[in-house]
Amino acid sequence: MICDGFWARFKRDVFKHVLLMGLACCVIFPVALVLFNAFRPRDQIEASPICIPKQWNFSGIFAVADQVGFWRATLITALITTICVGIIVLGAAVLACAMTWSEKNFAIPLKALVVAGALIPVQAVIFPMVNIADSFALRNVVGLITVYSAFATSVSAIVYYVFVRSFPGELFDAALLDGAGPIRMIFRVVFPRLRVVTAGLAAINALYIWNDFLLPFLFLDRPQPTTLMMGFYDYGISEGLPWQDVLNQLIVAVVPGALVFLIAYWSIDVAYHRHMGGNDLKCQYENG
Amino acid sequence: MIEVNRFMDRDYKNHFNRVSIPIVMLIALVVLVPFVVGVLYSFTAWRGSFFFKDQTVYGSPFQAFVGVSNYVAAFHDIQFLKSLENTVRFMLICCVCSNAVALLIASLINSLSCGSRFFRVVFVIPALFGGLATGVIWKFIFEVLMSRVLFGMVGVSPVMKFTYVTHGAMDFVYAMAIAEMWQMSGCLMIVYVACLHKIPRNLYEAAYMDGADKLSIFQCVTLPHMLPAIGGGVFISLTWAVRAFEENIALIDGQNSMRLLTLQIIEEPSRVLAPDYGKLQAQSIVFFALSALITMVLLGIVRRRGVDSYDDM
Repeated sequence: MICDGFWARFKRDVFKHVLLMGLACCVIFPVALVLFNAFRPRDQIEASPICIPKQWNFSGIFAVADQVGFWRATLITALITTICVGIIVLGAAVLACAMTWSEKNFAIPLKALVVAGALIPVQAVIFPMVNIADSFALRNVVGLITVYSAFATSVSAIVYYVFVRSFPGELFDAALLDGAGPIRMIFRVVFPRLRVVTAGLAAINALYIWNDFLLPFLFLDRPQPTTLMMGFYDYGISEGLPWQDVLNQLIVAVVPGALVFLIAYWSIDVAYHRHMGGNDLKCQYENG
Repeated sequence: MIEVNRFMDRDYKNHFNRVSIPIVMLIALVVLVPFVVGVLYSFTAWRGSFFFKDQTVYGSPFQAFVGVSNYVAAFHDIQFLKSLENTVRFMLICCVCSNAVALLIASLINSLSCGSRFFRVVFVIPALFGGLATGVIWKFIFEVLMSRVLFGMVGVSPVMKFTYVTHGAMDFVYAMAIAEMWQMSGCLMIVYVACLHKIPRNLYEAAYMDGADKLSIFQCVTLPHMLPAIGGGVFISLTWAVRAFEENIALIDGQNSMRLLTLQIIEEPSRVLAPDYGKLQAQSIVFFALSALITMVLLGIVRRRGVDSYDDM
């Protein structure tokens, strides 16, 4: 039973493949449903939503994209996401290093602050935060970036801290001997060893910020400037639109982000599992 | 020689303190200050830009101190209690179901020899959509597919219980839980696959040679290594479910009895002309207490019972 050949493994795995394929179909079914029905003529949606459409009607998408202000909203969302992710990654790395290597008088309040920042949800501070932002005239994109950075940096700092505290100290001794300041240490010593973690954190945070609706709902005035999800809410959900238009807007709102993050996730997955060692040492026991 | 000694004396403790000050100030100002202010205001008669106690308007919070009457009023509010109950039920259903499904899929994927990357990518696709998009997709399924085509009066097999689930308060929590689970299982599955991948193979080999059957292997080899990840997964699913907001907005039609907590807190000011922000802030603090309580309890449990995986390295 130890390390069978390819076909023996395949025969044993067939049942699992079939089961997983069935589950995968259940999971992808809603997505396929939306894709088929968005391009179907209006009257056929309710008549037969499950079948593959006979005529593919793509004109709805472009009309909807114009209505939502697609390019501008995507640009604004991309801007917010990239700036925030940059701040989050840098800030979390700095915080993690400060949490690991400082003496107790500084480290314990710092850790308490970071944990508090991670535990306090956005919903618990909505009203005071919006009030304060109003009084500083920060209820716009700048304020939105600030708030995203603050809330997401604490969680990311905790993730980084778990990895950073297992670094050997000799690396830092050597860097200090070479005369490195803290910023140079972070960029030359810490970040190269944390590439996969950084990629994962950047992807997760970018996904969260791109798809978020609660904070733009509180912070941005309508109609301009607006993020992608806000545009979808304004035009896709608020009024009683027919399903044809709603599904077209759904695709317009979702496809850019989903494609980018699919590619990002796939590449991070490749990098992570190459980093963790492949299947060559894996003996084929059935493990529960 | 003297210069080398001076370098070595200053070790790298406190080397990062100065650089971390801007970030610390950012977090303190944006997260802590509103929170402390909010806790303070929840004990006063706050009305947004002024304070209103005993028929007079005050400008400062310390004159309009009302003690815990905001919390009492919040717990007498029927809508708040209903949304609290909805949220707790939703949390429990989501947590149990999505963790079970994610564990099942992760263990299946982990024992595959080829094609595991394909399945990992496929199951994570639902997590890439935002909350609003997920809500609209499942609204389409619930309203058009299930209500009219599959289970409706003219459908394939009429089962009235499954129709219009987004309109009835009893089934609504289950409907929302399905939508949320669709999204959450993908994320949890990644965490579980990563953790299962790390369990050393020689433990399984040793258990097999000792003659253990599959259930014992799962119980004695897999489960102790997975407990930190399961704790983390339960934590993620509970905190995510407590803050569920966007699926809620997308799925309900403005019915008040089907709100979850976040929507309740946000929609409340639009009801009256001069909303009672003191009571609303009390509701927000209750929300925070709920989510913080879960976190503390879970972290306590996980810390005591997990296997420290650093000793095999």
